[in-house]
Amino acid sequence: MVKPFATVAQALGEIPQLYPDNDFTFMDLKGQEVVFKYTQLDTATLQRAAALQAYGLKQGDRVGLIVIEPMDFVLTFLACIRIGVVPVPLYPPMSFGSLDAYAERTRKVLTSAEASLLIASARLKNVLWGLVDKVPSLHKLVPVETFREATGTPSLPSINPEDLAFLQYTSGSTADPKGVMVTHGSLIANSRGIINDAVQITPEDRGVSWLPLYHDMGLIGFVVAPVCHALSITYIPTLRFIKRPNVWMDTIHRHRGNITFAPNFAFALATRKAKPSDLAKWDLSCLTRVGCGAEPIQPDTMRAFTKLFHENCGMPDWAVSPAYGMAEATLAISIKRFRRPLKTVKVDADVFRAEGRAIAPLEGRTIIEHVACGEVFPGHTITAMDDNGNQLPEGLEGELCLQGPSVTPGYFNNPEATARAYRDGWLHTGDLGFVLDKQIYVTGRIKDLIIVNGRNVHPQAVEWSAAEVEGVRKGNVIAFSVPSSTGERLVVVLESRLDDRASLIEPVRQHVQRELSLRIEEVITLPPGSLPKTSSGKLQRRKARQQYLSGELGTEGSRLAGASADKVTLARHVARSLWSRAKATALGR
Amino acid sequence: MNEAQIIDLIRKALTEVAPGRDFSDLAEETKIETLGLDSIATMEMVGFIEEEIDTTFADEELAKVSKVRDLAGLIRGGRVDA
Repeated sequence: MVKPFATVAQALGEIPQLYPDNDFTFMDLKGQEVVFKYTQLDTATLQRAAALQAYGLKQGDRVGLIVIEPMDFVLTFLACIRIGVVPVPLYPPMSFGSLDAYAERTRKVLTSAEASLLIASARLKNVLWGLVDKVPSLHKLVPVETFREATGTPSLPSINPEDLAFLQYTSGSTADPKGVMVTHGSLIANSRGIINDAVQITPEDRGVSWLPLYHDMGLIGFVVAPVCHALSITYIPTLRFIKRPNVWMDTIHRHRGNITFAPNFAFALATRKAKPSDLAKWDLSCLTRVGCGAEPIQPDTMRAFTKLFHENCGMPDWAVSPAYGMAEATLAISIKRFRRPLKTVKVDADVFRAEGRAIAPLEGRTIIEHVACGEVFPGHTITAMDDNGNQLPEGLEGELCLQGPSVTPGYFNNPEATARAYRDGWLHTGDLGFVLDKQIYVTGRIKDLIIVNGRNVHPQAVEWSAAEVEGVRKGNVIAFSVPSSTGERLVVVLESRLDDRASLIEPVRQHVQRELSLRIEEVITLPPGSLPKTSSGKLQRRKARQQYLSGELGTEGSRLAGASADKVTLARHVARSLWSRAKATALGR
Repeated sequence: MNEAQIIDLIRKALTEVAPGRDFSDLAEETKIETLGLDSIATMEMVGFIEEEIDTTFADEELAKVSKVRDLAGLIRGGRVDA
């Protein structure tokens, strides 16, 4: 185990001397690999830090970072951290995406962060150039490539645990950007929980990651925590994994990777894409920790992944490790402990939905299976709370609330949002869940945030976009997501006065696809007055979702009774994707 | 590859990432966004094509793709005129 450091900056200064031969290996889009030993990492980050200071950047200044190449991203990000400059990682524009919406969100975030400099990949220059004039604090756009030639020695300021390390913007909506203030102290505390307490990994181990580096799971999980604990990491470009999913397990096999992390959808993708010839070749006995987080975890997906890679490649059958976390808690709140088996609990669906009580199902009843995400890290406390802030006993569903050294101090320049989430000494996660035998179970989201393929989407964004289509009743659209075998499916329900309401289905789908790069799995069109509303006329998203799941939506008076209806509709909703997957397996290979 | 073979390749890639869907009326003028793929499936499709013809398209070219015609142009080894 590595000695504890007070700040990430201190770890960056000392670890290269202690573990000079550990490395970060960067793969490019074509699969070529470049190895950076920790000693080279030390030199390169110091040189880039000197170049940053030459631009006049001082401790506490914010810098936007929109960098495609993992090597440039990691070196520049760590260079900022070493001199107390606060990087603000942003995602690059996605292929086939709408640039207008992208530019607007980027402008909002940079404005909120009051960034004075924007560092970006040179090939994004044309897309980003216009932003410099539109963000009042911003005075320069610098291509990240110029830092490759950096020389010189920076002056290293004294950095304290309570100092800001970077800003992690979380909200998928452009309306209200929320930049989580991640401090050196919270990073050190969270890294210790992840590395020492949960996954129990050492400087002899190697991680493999294709996760985007502008997202907390990839950035903290595979850059910051590793440098604080001297792990070696191999980085695969995200786009390379999406295009060739087999690169993930193949790299783990070749580099003898011991730890990797991914959202649920990637487990399904890896399972579906593995070819028999690969399975025969791969030795994954080294792969002892496969973390799963960032979106709802489907037990069947975890079991299929485990079965395939355990039976064919020797991956331990306890390797899959569900995790729970959020940017406001730095990264992770809990992860299944090393070597423990995957655990789930089956509860009575009716009792759970109606009363929020997790109890064993009676004979013949519908069940819901929840995945255990491990125990909260030592030194932290988690509890489920009711609406009045009372702590609930074990097995009762409420809002999950957290205390401890991983909790960040709030959102940058956003006291209103901070006051909503950080109350009475607790971080209110906005997630619904319960604690049972110390295990954390996450069951839903209070804010109805939709998570598709690891991307957070506010239902309002989808609703507003759908309402722009001619023929849709403005203000009468509800968007929500429902569980499917591979993650979550996006459903949109809308009202229209048209006789031929079904004619709206394709235009709405295409419009939302174009605006938000999101696929709506199902568009339901209803006559005016069908959507559930409060007495004041406010749409009831949760109620609409419940009605959808129980088959009641828009069919007042003709509903089926109780649990059997649940089963039938759920089965129908899931069947299409299950069926298509089954056919793919049978025919595709 | 001639035009019909390229369309066939794109159709095969689409069937791979969205099994069970009908892409028989796919044409050069079809817009990619009307195919109803999410961003992950779109890139999966591109990856399938890259593997079939053993190449890697440049990111900045992919970003300009809007219609099947543009994708077909990349497959032919050209660039996208945006």
